[in-house]
Amino acid sequence: MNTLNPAPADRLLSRPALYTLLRHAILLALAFVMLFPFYWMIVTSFRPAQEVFSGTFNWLPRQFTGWDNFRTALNDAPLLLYMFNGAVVCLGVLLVQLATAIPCGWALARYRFRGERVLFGLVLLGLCIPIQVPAIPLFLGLAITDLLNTYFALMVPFFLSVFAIFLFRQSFKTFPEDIVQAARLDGLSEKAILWTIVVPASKPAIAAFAVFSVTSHWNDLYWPLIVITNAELMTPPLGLASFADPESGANFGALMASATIVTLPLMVLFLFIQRHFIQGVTNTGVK
Amino acid sequence: MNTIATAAITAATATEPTPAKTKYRWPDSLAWWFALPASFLMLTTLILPVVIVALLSFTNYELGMPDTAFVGIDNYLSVLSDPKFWHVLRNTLLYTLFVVPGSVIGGLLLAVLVQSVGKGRRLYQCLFFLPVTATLVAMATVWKYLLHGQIGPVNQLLHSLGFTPIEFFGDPGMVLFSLAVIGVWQLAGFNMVLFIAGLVAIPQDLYDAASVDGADRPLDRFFTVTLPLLGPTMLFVIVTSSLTAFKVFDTVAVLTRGGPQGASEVILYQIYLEGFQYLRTGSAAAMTVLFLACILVLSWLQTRITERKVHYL
Amino acid sequence: MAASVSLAQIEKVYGTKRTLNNVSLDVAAGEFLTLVGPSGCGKSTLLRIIAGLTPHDSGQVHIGERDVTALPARDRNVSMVFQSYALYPHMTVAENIATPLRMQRLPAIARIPLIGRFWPGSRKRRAEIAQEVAAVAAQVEIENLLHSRPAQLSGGQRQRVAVARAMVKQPGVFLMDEPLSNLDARLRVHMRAEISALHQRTGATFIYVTHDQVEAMTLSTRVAVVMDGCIVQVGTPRELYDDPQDIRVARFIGSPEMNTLAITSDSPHRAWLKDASIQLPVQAADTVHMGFRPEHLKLADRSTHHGAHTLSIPALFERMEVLGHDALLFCRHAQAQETIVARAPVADVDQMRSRGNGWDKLTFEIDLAQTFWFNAQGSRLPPATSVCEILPLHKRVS
Repeated sequence: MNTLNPAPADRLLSRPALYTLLRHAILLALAFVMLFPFYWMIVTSFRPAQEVFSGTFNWLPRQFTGWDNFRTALNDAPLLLYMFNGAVVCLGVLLVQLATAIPCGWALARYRFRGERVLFGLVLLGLCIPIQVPAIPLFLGLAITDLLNTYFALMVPFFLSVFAIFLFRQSFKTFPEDIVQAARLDGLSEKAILWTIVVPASKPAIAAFAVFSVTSHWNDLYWPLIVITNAELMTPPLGLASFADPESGANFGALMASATIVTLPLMVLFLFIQRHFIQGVTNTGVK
Repeated sequence: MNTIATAAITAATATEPTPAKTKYRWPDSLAWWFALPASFLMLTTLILPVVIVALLSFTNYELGMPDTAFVGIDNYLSVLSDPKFWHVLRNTLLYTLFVVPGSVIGGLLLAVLVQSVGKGRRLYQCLFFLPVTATLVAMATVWKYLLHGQIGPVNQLLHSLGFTPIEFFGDPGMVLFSLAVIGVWQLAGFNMVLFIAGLVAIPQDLYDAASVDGADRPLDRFFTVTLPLLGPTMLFVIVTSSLTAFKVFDTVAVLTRGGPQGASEVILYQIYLEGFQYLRTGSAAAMTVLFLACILVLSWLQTRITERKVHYL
Repeated sequence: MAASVSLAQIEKVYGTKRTLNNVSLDVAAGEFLTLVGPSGCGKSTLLRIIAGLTPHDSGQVHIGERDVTALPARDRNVSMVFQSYALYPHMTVAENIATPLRMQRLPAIARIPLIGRFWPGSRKRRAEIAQEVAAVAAQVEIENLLHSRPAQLSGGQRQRVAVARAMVKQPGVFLMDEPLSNLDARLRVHMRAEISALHQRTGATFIYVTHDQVEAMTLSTRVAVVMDGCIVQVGTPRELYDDPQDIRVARFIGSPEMNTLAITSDSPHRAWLKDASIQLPVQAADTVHMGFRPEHLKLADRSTHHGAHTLSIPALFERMEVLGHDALLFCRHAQAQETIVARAPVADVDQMRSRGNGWDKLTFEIDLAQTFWFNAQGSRLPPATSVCEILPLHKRVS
C-alpha cells in the first residue's frame, strides 16, 4: 500500500490554506536556489565573452549569441564522441553487471550451498570497499597486458557490482516461493525459472538499479582519468575536465555550452523516467 | 557517485525486514553455476587486487623502475610521519564535517517539506534530485563560474549588498568550505529521496494515535513520531553521506588541483597523484590501505554509535 | 465521566464518492454502541470524524454538551484504540501509556529530553504520571511488561497496551476501530469478554466499529447498521434480529443469512408465490421480498395440511453441513430455483430420512408470523395476514 502519498493529516482547522501556501513558497525558493546553477549554465551558453567578463549581473543575455558557443565547444572538443564513449561504457558495464549479479543474487537468496556464507560475507565486505582501493593493481594489470586506453579498460573494474548482488538478493528473497514451485512442477529448469519468470517480475528493482548504474558510471572521473590518455576514448567527465583546462579563464561561454551538452542527456533521461525511478527507490523492498 | 548508487536502493531494502524463506538443498554445482560469473569477477577484480595492494604497500615498487624490494612497513612509517599526510587527512575530515550535517539536515528538511504538501510532490522530488543526476565535473565548472572571485554572480550579489567579494576558490581559508557547498548541493537531493523512502514507511496510524494523544502540532508530531521512526534511515543516510564526502575527488581535480597552497588537498587526490602521477606505487598502495582503514573505521564507528538507539523495530 | 455523543447531518465526500450521507446518530452516555457494516460502508470514516482525525464536509458533532465540530482530537475528551494498535515502537510500554498524560500535563519545554527535567514542577508531575500509568497497567494486567518494547510483545499484549493507553486519559468516550480483527479466534473471544468488563468497570461511553456481526451482537447496548454511507437502523441487538427495518439489515444480521424470495404482486393485498396466493394488508409495488430465517423453517410431511397461517415451501435438497447439534440444509426452491438454507436439529433430519421418503424433495413449513416482508426498495412492510390456496389459472372461473 506504500505509495508516495501518505500525507500526515493536517490539523483540522488551523488555516490549512495559509500553511500550504507558506510551504509551497519555501519549497519554490529552495528549488530556485538548487536549480540556479543549471539556469546559469544554460543562460551563459548563450552569452558572448564580453558580457561574461563585464562583471555586471543580468538575468538574460544582453546579446544572444545563438549557437556560437555550442559550435565552438563542439569544435574544440569532440564532445559527441565523448558521449558516445560514455554510452558504450555504461551500456557494456550494465549488461555485464546484470548478467552476473542477477544469477548470483538469486543463488544467495534461494539456495543453500557450500560456501554460501563466505560468498555473502565477501559481498558485504565488498560494499565497504570503494573502487579506488583496487585501482592500482587493476591499472598495473592493464598496463602489463597492454590493455590501457581501451573500452575494456574503462569497464573492467565495474563489471562486478556487489551492490547489485546485494540488492537483487534482497529483492529475490521476497519473491513468492509458490510461483517457483509451480514452475518447477511445470517442468522449467532452474535457469529458465530465473530468467523467464523471476526477472520479468522484478523489473522495478532492475530498472532502479540500472538507473543508478548508468548515472554513476556516466559521471565517473577517477577511473577514466587513470586508464585513458587517448583523447578518442575519453568519457564525458574526462573529456570535459581536459577541455576545461585550457578554457578556464578564457571562454566561459563555450565552457558552459559544453557543460550543458554533457549534462543534458542524463537529465533528460531522468526526467523521462523519474516517475518509475523515484518510485523504484522508495518502493524497492517494500513489496 | 559509486557509493551514492549503492546507497539509495540499499536504503529502501535495508529498512525492510526480509521474511525467512525456505531454501532448497539443490546440488551445490547448480547454485555455483549461478554464482560463478560473479564469483570469478569478485576474485579477479576485487579480492585479488585488494590483496595485491596490501602486498604492494610493503614494497618500494615504482612503475617503470626495474628493481623492487620488500621494505616491510617502511612505506607506512614514512607516510604516517609525513606531515603532508596528516594535513591531507585533516582537510578531508574537515570537508566531511562540513558536508555531512549540511546534506543530512538539508535532505531531511527537503523530505519533510516535500511530503507535507498535497500537490506537486513529484515535481519537487524531481527538481531537487536533478543535481544528483548532473555530471559533477560539468557542474563543477559551472560552480567555478558562479563562485568566481570577480565575475561570479554570487560575488556580484554580495557586492550589491555591500559586502566585499570573497575569493571562494582563491582564498585558502575558504576553499574547503566552497567545495563543501558544492558537495552539499549535490548530495542533499539524494538524501531527500532516502528520507522520503523512510517517511513513506511510517504508518499513518501512528500519526493518528499521536493526534488523539495530544501531539498534533507539527513540531510535536515530528519529535514524537517522525524522527524516532526515521532512526534506521537516518543512520544509513549519515553513513553513506560521510563515505561519499570522504571520497571527494572530482571537484578537487577539476577546480582546485589541491590548491591554493595545498588548502584543498584531499586524500583521494593525494593517492591519485602519488600513484599515477609520481608513480610511487608502493607508497600509494600504503596510502590506499590507510584510506580503506579510515573508511572502515568511519562506517563502524557510526554504526556502533547509532545502532543501539535505532533498532527497535 | 461518561459523555454522550451526538452526530447531526454528517456529510463526507471523497472525490466523487459520497462516503457519508446525512448521517445522524445519538449515543447516550455510558452506552456501548457498535457501528457495524460491510467493508467500505463508511463506519470507520464516521469513527474518525467523531475522533476529530478526519474533517467532515458538513454537520455537527457534539460530545457531552459541547460542540466539538471545530476542535482537534486532543480537545475532544476521546480515546481511540486502533486496529493496528499504533503503539510507538521506539518507546517502552510505560512510555507509550504515559504519552497522553505527558502531552496534557507537561508543557513543551518540560518534554525536552534531559533539560526538561529541570522545569519547575516537572518532577512532581512526572511522578504522578508514573503512578497513574502503573495503576492502569495493573488493571489490564501488564505491570510486568512496562519496560518492554512493543516489538517484544504478543498480539494480545499489544492490544492491552493500546487499551491501557486509551484508559489512562479517563476519557468520556472510548473509540475502538476493529481492535480484535488482528487476533486469532480464541483470543478474540477472550478479549471480547475483557472489553465488555472494561465497559462495565469504567462506565464510559464506547463506540465500537466492526464488520463482524457476532461482536456487534454480543458486546453492544445498541447497534447501528451502516450501509453505503447511511445508518440503516439503530437498535438493540434483539431489535435488529427480531425486527429488521430494512432487507439489508435482515440479511446482514444472523448467520446463516436470512433467506429472501422475490415475489410478484399483481394487485393490492395479494402476492403470488407460484400457485400460492398470500394476503398482504397494505398495497405493495410490483415486487416484494419475503424473508425468513433458516432456523424458523420446519421440516414437514408433504401430506400435512397447512393452516391459514402457515406457508409451505417445496424445495429440492442439494447438500447438508452438519454443525453438531444442528445441521444446515442447502436447498433450492422447487419452482423458483432460488437458494434456501434451513437449519434443523440433526435428530429431525435423521427422522425424516428414516421415513424413507424421497430425500430429494422436501417440504418446509413456516409460520407467517415469522416471515418478514420488504418492498422493492428494501423497506419493511407490515406482516402478512393469511394464506389461501388458489386454483391454477386454467381451472379458475373468471
